Amino acid sequence: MSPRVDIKHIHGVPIALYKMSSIEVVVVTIDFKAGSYYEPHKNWGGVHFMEHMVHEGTKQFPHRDALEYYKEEYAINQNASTSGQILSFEANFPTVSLKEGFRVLSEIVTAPTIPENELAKEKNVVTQEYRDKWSQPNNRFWKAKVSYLYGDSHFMTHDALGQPEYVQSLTKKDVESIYQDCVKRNTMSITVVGNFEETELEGLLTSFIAQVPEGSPQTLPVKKPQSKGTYLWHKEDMDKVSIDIAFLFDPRSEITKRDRMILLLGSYILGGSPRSRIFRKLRGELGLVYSAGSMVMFGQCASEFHLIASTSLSDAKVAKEELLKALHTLKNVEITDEEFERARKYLNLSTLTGYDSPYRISDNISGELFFDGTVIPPQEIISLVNTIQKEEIAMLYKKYVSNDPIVMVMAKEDPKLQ
Amino acid sequence: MKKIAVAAILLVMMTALILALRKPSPATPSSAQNPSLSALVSPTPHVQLPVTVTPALSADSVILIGNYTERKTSEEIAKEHNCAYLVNGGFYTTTSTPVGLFKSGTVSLRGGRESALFDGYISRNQMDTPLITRMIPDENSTWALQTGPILIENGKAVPLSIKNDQPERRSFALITGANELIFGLVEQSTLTALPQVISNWARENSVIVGDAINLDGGSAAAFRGENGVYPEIAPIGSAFCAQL
Repeated sequence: MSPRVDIKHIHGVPIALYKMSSIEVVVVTIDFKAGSYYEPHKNWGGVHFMEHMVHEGTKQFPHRDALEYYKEEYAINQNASTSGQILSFEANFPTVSLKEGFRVLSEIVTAPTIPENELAKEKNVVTQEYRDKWSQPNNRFWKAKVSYLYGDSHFMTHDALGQPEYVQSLTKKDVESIYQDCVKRNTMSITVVGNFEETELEGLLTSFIAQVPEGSPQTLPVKKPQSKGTYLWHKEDMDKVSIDIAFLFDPRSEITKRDRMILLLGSYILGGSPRSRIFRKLRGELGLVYSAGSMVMFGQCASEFHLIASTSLSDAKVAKEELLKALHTLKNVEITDEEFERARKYLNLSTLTGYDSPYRISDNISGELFFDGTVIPPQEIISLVNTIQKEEIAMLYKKYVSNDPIVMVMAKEDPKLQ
Repeated sequence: MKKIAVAAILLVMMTALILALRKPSPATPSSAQNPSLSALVSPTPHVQLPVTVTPALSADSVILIGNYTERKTSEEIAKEHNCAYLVNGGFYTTTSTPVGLFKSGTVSLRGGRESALFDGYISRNQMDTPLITRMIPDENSTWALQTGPILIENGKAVPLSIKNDQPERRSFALITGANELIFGLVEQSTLTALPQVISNWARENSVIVGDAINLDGGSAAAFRGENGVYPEIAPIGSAFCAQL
């Protein structure tokens, strides 16, 4: 039987429901269009800090321990996260704890007290989170890449953690104001996956949503990347060279779902698995790399196609050339029927495995609902993929992945791959 | 630096006084001629301000010209450089030097410096992309100018708090979401209201604004183009010239 996603609107809030009768678990995801991309001025990191603070006490659970004991009693796992464009609250719990699960979410999302006496402690926690993150060379490379690709002033460079000095300066009033800016009905979407009784769930959702103020919608401008150049060497003291060759193209909103699937299919053939062309050539045949591949991402302001490899200083030039050669071949040499059919079959089957657990289902559905405002069920995606002709892969890679490559490397010495 | 900022504010206040005494009329009425380039906007429900703008320009058609010592008129500069559109550039000190970074080609008159008022830079990078940033632009920029304050950042109006803010002629530069440059002039606006004036204009004209920054204003504000001519009263320190 084909899995079924019901889309409803309660008080204007889009809600995706996915019922699974064979389990006794419910997974709830509540997403808001908020995050560091929406903090556009000199400083950011306030939304992430606010997300921490709303867990420090609520009207009915005045301190964190009270909340944690309640969660333990009803086996409620609850967490939250902040990225550039999503402030997300998630919870999973047994079906018998449906009411209590919603009570926890409702308290955290709609009735936080932002206790003043917890501010200083939590600021230190967030500062340590900052230190942990930016102590990792790969994270520093990622930050350098985003700045290089999008330009220093682009909101895409706003990592959720922001600046510790700014976070340290925030008062209770500031945090309350950030909370009011973020937690609004007009920016909210909800996904519920698992076993639930529809009428009971609808009642809980209705009363929960009613407590969220309407507010005004938040929008991000579609601001094109302001790339700094075509070659970046990011210095890190490490005995390897990480190569990332990026191509920027149209934003997600300007690429149809079908075109996105074609690009994903091409990326899978090129570098999406140990059976891919890049992996087999660079690792299996030439032994140049430990890891190598390709990936495609569809973003708010631009989509990105990446060719990546981890290699040595002495092999970096050849590895880079081989990566570009593989892309050139994809664009210009016909894919065999066998390779195309294998890739398409794999993509179709992996679409189904994306629906293998309530957690992954919730992840997939909430992402689609958030970004596209609708959810396409896996069977429809498979039907869509089955309409793709192999010639379309080369055609679309020529169309979209056509800008100058931006070569970015992390190494202790500049391998000069311009 | 404070002295420079105070001097600049005094200059702005003095020019406001001059403008109050003598408001220049545009040689060519703007909104009547080309409604797509000018529009009536409402910074508040009760006030509508005309905004005159250039078309969306690619950065490689725009040059930055220094005029600190030359003191040519905007008309002379436009003729000399064959500018289809010309807008004044940034602020200058009482000793006729730029208040901060000025770079045009191989000419660098001053480096970037910290300033609460002149808190941004407009530049064209080596990829020919226009930028408005808080950080000092890359040294390989084709041209770069320190000015401010930043009015719109990543699509959102920046809340400004300006002492002794008076309505006067304002000029500004903005970068669209598609990385095009638009320069504009508002005849009478406070600096505090300017971000909203620009946002309203952008909404009315379906323009996506990425970032916007204030340029020199008052008597040193000038705009020349087929949709309007607003000559300066005091000399302009620099000029953006679009060669179409």
